[in-house]
Amino acid sequence: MRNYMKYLCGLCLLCVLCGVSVSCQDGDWEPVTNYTLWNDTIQERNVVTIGSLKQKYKTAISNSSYAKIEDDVQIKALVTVNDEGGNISQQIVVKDESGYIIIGVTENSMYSYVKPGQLILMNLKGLYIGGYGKNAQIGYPGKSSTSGAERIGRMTRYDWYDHVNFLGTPDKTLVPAAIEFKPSLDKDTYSDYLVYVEGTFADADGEAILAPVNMADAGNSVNRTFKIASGGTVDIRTSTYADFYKMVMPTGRVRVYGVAIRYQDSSWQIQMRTGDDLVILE
Amino acid sequence: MTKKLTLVALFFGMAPLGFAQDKPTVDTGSTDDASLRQDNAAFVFTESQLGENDDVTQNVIMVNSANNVYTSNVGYLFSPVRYKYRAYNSRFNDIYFNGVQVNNSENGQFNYSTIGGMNDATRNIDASGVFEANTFSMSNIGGSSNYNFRASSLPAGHKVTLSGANRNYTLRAMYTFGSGVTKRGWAFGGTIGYRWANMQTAAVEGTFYNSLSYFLSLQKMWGDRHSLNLATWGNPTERAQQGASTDEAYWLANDRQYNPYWGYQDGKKRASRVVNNYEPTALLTWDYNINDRMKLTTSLIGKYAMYSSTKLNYNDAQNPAPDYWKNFPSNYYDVWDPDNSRNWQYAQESWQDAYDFWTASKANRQINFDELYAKNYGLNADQKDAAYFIQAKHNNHIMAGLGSTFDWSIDKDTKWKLGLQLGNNVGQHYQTIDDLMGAEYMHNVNNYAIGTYLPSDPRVQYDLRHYDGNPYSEANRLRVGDRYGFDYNLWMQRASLWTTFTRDKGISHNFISARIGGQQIWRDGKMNNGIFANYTDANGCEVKLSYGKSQKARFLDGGFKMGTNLNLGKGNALSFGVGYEARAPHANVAFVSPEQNNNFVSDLVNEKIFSSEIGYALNNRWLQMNLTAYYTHTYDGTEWQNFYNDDENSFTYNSLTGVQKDYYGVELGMKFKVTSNFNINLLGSFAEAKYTKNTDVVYLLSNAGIPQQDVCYNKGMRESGTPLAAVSLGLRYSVKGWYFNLNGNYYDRIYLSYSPNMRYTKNLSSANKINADGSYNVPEQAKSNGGFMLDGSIGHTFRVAHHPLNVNLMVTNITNNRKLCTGGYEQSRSNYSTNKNGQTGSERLYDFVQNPKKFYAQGINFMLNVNYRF
Repeated sequence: MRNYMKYLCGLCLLCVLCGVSVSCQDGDWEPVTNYTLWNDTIQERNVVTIGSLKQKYKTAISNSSYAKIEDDVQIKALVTVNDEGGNISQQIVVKDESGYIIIGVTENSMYSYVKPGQLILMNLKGLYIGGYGKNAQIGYPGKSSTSGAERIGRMTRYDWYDHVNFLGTPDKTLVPAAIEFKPSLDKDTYSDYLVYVEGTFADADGEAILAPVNMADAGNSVNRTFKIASGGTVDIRTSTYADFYKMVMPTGRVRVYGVAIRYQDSSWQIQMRTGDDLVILE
Repeated sequence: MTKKLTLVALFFGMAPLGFAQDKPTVDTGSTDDASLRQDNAAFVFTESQLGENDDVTQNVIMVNSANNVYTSNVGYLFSPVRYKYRAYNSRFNDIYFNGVQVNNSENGQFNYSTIGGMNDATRNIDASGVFEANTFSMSNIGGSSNYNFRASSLPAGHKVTLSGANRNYTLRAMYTFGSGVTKRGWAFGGTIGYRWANMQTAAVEGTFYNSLSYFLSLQKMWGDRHSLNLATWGNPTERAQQGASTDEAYWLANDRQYNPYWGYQDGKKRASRVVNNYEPTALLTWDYNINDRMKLTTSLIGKYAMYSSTKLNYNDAQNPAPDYWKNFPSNYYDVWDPDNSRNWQYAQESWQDAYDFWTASKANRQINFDELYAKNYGLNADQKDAAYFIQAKHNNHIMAGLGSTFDWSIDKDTKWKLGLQLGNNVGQHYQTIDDLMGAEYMHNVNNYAIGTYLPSDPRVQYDLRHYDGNPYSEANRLRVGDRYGFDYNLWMQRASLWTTFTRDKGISHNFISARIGGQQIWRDGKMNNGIFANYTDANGCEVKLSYGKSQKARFLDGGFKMGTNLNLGKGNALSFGVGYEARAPHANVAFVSPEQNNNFVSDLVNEKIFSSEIGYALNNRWLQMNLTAYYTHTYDGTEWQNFYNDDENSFTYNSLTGVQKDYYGVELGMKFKVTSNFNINLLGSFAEAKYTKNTDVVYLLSNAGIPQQDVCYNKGMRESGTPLAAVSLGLRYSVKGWYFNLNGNYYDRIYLSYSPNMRYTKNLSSANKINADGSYNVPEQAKSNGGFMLDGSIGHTFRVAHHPLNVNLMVTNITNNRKLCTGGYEQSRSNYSTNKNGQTGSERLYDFVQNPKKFYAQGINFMLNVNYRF
């Protein structure tokens, strides 16, 4: 009996030790609530308008080239469009009282934290500005993987986080309402505006979709001719990677919302943000 | 995990109370070489043999036949590189407990980690080689082993073991007790053990280990005639895994043990891949000695295996993996072709920026959990689904099996055995949300399919049973613990009969074995997948494409094996063996896309295996030697893989049929007994294990329901993750209770797992890998550089209070060779982008062919064991 008692005590002790000392190492994790993606140390010190910025670098923009922003300047702007929907990808549109500009960032699904109506303060020194099809963009120089052309591209998301501060919480009511699109709109002024246009899709037949993959161009997008009710036409440009690329073009009259993007001097394109930007009128 | 441990500890602690009457016989411990190795090694399996390491997808295979110098040593010696016997998949190695087969019915493999930590209980093994007759089966081509879990086989007495290491775990404690056989015919024994490492102490950063093992066996004998044994064991384990990465990542991290599967959350380390595994098992064995020559052994086993493994996943968001290819410097600058015209100054600057970011701090190289939470919070505000979440993939099994063997020694030269194996297994496979990471909910939606179909299309629903027309309805919000993605059971039922006849005649020992079996498999889907929705056919019958039971696939298989061993005298022996069998496919390869639908792979047939071997053995006073040559040919095999196919922008399920392989090689084991206490061992093998024919493939994209057919140009691809050439020179010396071992091992021809889709006709054409004569320029398989490893051990047996105290220190990789790549896999992404219409886009600067994911051997590592028997 004595022999068994000695090992029994040892065994029980070991069991108890195991039982009390063992605990899950991957238990419930407390949510993290105080992390900010952006650089909240950035303070206002030398804010310039988007208009003045575009004026200063108009040569680079109009030549579809790029230039480095050497001055220690900032913009304070409101986000009007993000990348929700997948049609406007890896870029956002911001505006201040003087104009609009695109910011290109190599990051997917920025819409999770960049909301329309968000006010941002951005340090520009060290970044680049240029023109993509003469459309002004802040980003980083890139080379086309197909043509080899040098142009303004997108900054890394780490540069973006490092150069931007978010001021307050987003207020959607601050985003200007969409204006009516006309082909005669001045491209220098109205590029990147939120617009709407009413009319019909020229190729709508009840089955044709917005962006058939076999019609995609080198940018993986399809331009659909839109007949404007008030006259003229415009291209509705949809990426084959947009969530709604398979939407069937309605045959009747519709209103299309989107961002007006200039392409060089020759044309306009309207890029819908989400499938909700297509409103059937009849 | 804590609750499981407490219950187990209480149960185990109470059990010995029933046996506080008879005095046990204490085992004082022997000092011969084999016993010393076992005692002082204090573990039978190394961590790599347990199949837990490094996110490996195949377990190692061990053959431990004591008759053969090579097979009895190779599993242990070569375990640091996860050696697989003859490069066979572990489904070719059969494991039995008290005569009942315990391989996983679905994949045929045995996971040694389920008996890890039970070292003392797993010492009694009856192992047989490929062409050795045994008492429990027709041996598989990778050998077979039968573990004896009877209480009477445990050495009587107590043993306490304490260990410290810098390996998968840091500390280990074990207690083993055996009563021996008491006068009243009872035997009781058990072991309890605990292995532990946390994130600060584990050898690989970002991993931890938390495992309790228990084993309890109770036996009652009625004279020499009957014996009944009940054993139960379990191994509740929680551990964090290590992931493979590229040489670029290892270079940037300046650490070949860099692990991308962890990160920081609020300043604390958090692992993204955590495995929880618990497989409580009960085994009842009845031994019936019918008479002096006949014996019947019957075992009944039941097991409920609970296995889950977590993974960080994302929907419509930036890939959160720190070693995602777009994060690397070589994504910005073509490091393989400096003359590339895209290597302009801004590419260089970007390369430098990325390099600076990677090298600036460890946190930059790991998952940023804080960032992922922040993005999820942003989505909450817009009432959107989680972008990032931790999912848990569950693979549970409820298994019952019966094994019964009739053993008849007809006369002194003739034996006959007849056995029956029955098995029923249901595998429960589903996925749950483990942590929403700050998000409030998500929906059971196939995000891979959005883009092929509109979000409002019911085909993007994983389960139409709860679909109300609104893909993101409030009623269908999923929260932590809810199932999503897939939910299905796989059923396997099997019955087989085997027999072995052995006959000694003159100088020959001969055997012939045969088996025949039947198997049926079916799937029972628990979700009505939107792409494979059930429907009603023209006859009004419901076609259960995904929800409900599939058809049943039935197979009849069998085979034979025969061999002879010729004793030529003076310690010389020759052996020959040949076998042919057909093996039914396992459930894990039987379905095209088990996560989505009930469809079987077309052309699903038995795999055929031809095996042969010739050997020479010499055993005299100073030399024991085994030299073996073997050849195995398999055909009509079926393999299955799933992975993200970059060219298709989709997760894919791939079935390869008509798989044909050759395995052949030479093995040598020599043990020179220089003196009574000094041995020199030499082991070596040179093998080939490769596909001998291109394979037909059918793959299904997760974003569409149409199977695609192609040919995979995998002829010449080799089995991966094991050295196909290895040599070991070992010195063993023992004197006055001290023993010293030193082994120098060289490994070579370690191939990485090849990527099938990179060798599909479609991908080869897209990549323009076509020779002038129209043949395809198939990429070479990625291969590891070979390497040398020096291992040693020293130990001594002391006497403390008249009982042996063994102290053993094992040091592996004494020369700290961290350049030895032990395995890994090719990436399945292309060096070019593809458009939605399948056309090739632009070349990427990042070169996936040059960047396979690899594992490297751990540098110098040790284990110190102290065990005391009393």
